[in-house]
Amino acid sequence: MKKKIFADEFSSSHTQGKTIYVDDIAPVVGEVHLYPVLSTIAKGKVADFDLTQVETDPNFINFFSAKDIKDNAWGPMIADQPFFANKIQYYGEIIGLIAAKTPASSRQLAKKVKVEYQEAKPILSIQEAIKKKSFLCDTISFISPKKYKNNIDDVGIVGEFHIGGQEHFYLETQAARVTYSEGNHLKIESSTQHPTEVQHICSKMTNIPYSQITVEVNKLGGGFGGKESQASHIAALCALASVKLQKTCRLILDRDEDFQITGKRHPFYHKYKIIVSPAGQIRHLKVDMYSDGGAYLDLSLPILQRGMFHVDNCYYIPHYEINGRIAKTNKVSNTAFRGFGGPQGAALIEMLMERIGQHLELDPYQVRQINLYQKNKLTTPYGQKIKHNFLPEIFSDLAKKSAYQSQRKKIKKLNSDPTSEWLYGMSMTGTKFGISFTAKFLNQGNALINILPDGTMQASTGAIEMGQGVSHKIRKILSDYWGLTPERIFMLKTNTEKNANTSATAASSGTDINASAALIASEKIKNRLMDLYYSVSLLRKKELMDESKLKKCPKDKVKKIKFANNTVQGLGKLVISFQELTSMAYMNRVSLCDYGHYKTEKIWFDDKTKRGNPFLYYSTGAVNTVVKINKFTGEIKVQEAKILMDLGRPVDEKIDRGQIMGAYIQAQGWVTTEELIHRPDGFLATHSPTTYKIPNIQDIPRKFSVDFFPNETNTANVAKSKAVGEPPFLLGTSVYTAIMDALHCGKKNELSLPFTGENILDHLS
Amino acid sequence: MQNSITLWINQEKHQISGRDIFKPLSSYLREDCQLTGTKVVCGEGDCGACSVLMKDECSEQYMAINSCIAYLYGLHNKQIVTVEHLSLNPDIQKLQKNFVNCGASQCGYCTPGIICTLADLYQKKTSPKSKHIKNALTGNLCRCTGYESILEAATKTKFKQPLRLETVSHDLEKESLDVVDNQYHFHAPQSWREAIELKKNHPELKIVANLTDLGVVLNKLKVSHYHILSLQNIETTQHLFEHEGNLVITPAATIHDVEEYCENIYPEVSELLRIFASPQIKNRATIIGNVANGSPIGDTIPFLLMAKTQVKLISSQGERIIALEDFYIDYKKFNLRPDELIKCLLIPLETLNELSKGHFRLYKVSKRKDLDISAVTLAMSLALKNNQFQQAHLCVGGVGPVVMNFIFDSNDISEKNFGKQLIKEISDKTLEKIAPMSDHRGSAKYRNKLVENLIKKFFYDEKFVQEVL
Repeated sequence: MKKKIFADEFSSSHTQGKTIYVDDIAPVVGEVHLYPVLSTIAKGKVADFDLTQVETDPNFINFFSAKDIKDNAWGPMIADQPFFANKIQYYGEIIGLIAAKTPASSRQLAKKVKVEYQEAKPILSIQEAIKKKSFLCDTISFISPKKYKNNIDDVGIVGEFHIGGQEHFYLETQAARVTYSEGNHLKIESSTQHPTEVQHICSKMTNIPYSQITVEVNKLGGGFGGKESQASHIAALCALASVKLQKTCRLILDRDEDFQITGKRHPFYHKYKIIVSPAGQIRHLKVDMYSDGGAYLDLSLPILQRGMFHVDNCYYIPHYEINGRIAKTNKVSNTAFRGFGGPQGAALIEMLMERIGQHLELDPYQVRQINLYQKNKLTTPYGQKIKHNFLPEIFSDLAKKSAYQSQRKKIKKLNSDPTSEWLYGMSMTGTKFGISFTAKFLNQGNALINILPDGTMQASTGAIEMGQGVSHKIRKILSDYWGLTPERIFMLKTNTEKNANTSATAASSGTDINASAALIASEKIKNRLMDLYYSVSLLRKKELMDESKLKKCPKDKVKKIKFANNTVQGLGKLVISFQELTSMAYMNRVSLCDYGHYKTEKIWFDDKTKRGNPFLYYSTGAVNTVVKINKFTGEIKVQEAKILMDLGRPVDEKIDRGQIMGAYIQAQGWVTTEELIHRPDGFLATHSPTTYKIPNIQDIPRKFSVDFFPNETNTANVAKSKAVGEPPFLLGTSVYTAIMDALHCGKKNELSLPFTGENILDHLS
Repeated sequence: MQNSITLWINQEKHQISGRDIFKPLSSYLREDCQLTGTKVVCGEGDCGACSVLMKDECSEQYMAINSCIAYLYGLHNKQIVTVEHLSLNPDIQKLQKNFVNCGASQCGYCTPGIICTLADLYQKKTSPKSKHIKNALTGNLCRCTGYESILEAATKTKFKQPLRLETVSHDLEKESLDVVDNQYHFHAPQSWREAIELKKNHPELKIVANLTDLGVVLNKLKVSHYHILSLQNIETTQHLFEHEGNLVITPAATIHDVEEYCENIYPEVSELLRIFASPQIKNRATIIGNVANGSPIGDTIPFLLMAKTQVKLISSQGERIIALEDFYIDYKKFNLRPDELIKCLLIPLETLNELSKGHFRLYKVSKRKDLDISAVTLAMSLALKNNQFQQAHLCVGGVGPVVMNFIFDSNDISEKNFGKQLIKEISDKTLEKIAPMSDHRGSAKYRNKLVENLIKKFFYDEKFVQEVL
């Protein structure tokens, strides 16, 4: 069948600048602009506020702080963060809120609030936290049932691996707008991935019940996990001011402040010992894994856990002891970011593959190949058996496609040339990313389908569109299911009035969960429409005026009925246009609307034994990356990235390709140029694009391609597809390992990520 | 004296006075005109989301600029086109369609800025190649796509004729500007005579041309009141021109002007300027702005020093000319009296020619190759006598309070033949004299190493040595 291509409704309005993000909403008369007052110390206490320079300003409306709220605590998992800090835990923590008449004056006034502090000494690194026993949780351990037995020929490699954090750099900063209206009702427009959580946190802030809080989200200018929990705090501040002032309020963070005060990807510190056979087969891995949680817990616990779940990545580890713990430091509370700890776990093992290869003088590709999950080696360190595993095929297919062996020879020759200023490196790495939220209750979603008598349809789910194409994908799945041209399906704005009790659009699961719910709702309506169609077919004429003649469609007939080309057909020669049938349904009081609830079945995890089946399935893939390094300057260029991804039967290849390439480049930034550097007082020195360098268009690989590995086995998920958002992020690690290959630095026990020019030059000299 | 400015937004005339002229264009578009297609992401001209098109009085074409750092008072007599208006153009609609079909817009926040920036390119190239597109979009960040689909969409878009955008014909308002609002005061005189008079009476005046630097400072709330003198309206027919053996760079000469001038004659300079900044910045930022800012990492300064540039200063007492090297005294301290202004830079054409024919290289190393502030910049040239070393000239940025300028000749260097020893001597001498500091762009150790390696690279690139030492 020829694949239909149709335009994403959003992207067309994007190109014309017509999409309305929160700050694009035209303000009402008298709308209030808010801006937070931030601490300028990393640890201590607020002694006093001095507003003398602020209160006299004609643009000043009000100032709020901890004394204005009763229940000064929130958090996505436990309420351990203050809305307004009195006891300061990081530089840039919100301690007050200015309400003013214009956006510019709100920000200016917030800076003019003078704050008196009692300062204490902050903890700014994982190592310091370990030394001072400053943690956010106890140690979690995955320990293999069978212990490793010493073998004289086996080789042990020990070391430390420091992994840096990463700023999301979504282009639209955190934003919220709250309208207070009659009946003590709040309407919240928020740039959030999790409207339900915004509802809950705003309720906690204002003491208004959930039922009187509506959250609506049109479209996000990027999220990447940074708006899963972080948006709630901003919305709650807005809600507070809106209730206190009984006015519409908006709070839009400036880039500099967004950078400084919102959580980031967790830095990790791994201390490890890996034991391998002389052929490079993994025997045993022991890791003490510390994540930098920052000041509060936020989502650090499931993030650490996912880091532990992904320390195997694509490779079978027979014996293991994986210990994880979250360090508490005086930095922003780190949060979800594409991959959710997975990349920090997988980066370790991919780095180790390179080290093992260099230690044993084996091609790291060969080391990976023998360690890949295969045949009877399919059980992960948390006891889940991998079904439909194609990792060996994906690796060998990609090796062929990228002419790995001949490229390897070529690189060897190039690198032996003393007259060349370039050093080349190549690395093939993989991804095996578990799909499902590890918190079981989040694996649910709901959808509302309204069919209208003109033959068009409205679909509403809890999915948030943030550029990943989820609304387009759901629309496409519905279009296929209903045999309707996509133009007839209108995706409604995400709104808690239509879809309550939703999960965050996160964990790559947006399409899986919400499209499944949309199909459940659709099926209910379809059954009624089939009854109607069947009843019409019995009458041998197209009109059905008397609803008493409605009959249940027998099962053998159901199979014959087809919804295609905007019609319903299959029984005899009766072809009824979808419009006609729906209008008939309306006239005969057949319901055209329904609601569907979906929950992911068969997933579980036993927190005591640390074993279970936490994931519904895995998205897998591999990449071959070639880099070159300038011997004089340490500058790198990615020459080639060839990706092969198993996404089952992709819902939309164009969108999936965009997700894969985008994830790869984002990860390339993480492992090369993106560096979070704090001053000794805890202030983030790299807090804007001038100093924090995400990849630009000149940084993309010279040759960059994506292929799909055909796989029809994933019946566990909607339309046999697989989730795509996070899995390819793990592939970007190959830029790191390719640089390791070029530098041949695998014998060094201490390595750190990112490989900035400085880090590389250090290895070169 | 006029106390309002006039500009055209999407063909519509806007006359603005009072406090409003002290707003960035992006805020005016979004808050006052409800043109919210223009997005503000960084407020410092580093991401391109706020890109719009601007046409000034002396050019035929529009150019992309960052509207977030373009304060309205700097836009007198200019014509602005935003994405909303651009979308009415049938050629642009083809580009937009290709964006949709290639999946080149995901979250969409960078897209309007990218469309505007590409419109600038399509005025010059009907079928731009990948290289042109990348250079055009150096200053447009996207966090979603990985850029490949953007490149694909733009490569696919080809026209028979260069893109033509409508303009409004209007008479220029040629009066001097003087706008006051509370703590803000802005002057844009029409003549040098007026300018020096103002500077004499108000030595605290901050001098600007197109505000690419001050715009950032203002957006970062680092100053809350200011008194500004803009040289933008002083009439010169040309931004840069050759005169009496010199290339004359006026305060209006942008980096783009110089890049264009050098493209064929001095490709080395043009290449450095390519990675120097984004097109949006280069279309506005001036060379004299870079010089007067005096940053030790000012990227054009090593080249200007190498080219033996002279600075012509003007005041009520007349004019004087000093070497650029003598203009810098210490970190942001200048050989400049409070009543003086920089009138122009003079670059001897002779030295330019010598440099382009001789052994001369410019280097810049930063965390990200393009559009990043450098850790180290280095300009180096070498003079030979009988195929032996005679003199080395090095200008190094990022390693001290000012851009350092060194000349080593046979008095300093004992070795005459090309090889390890000579390189080591030059590099040792250089390292002795520099004192870099550690910051978020790099440690002192890294900067020292870079200087050492760039000197090696110079000998390698100029083929004095074959091997990488």
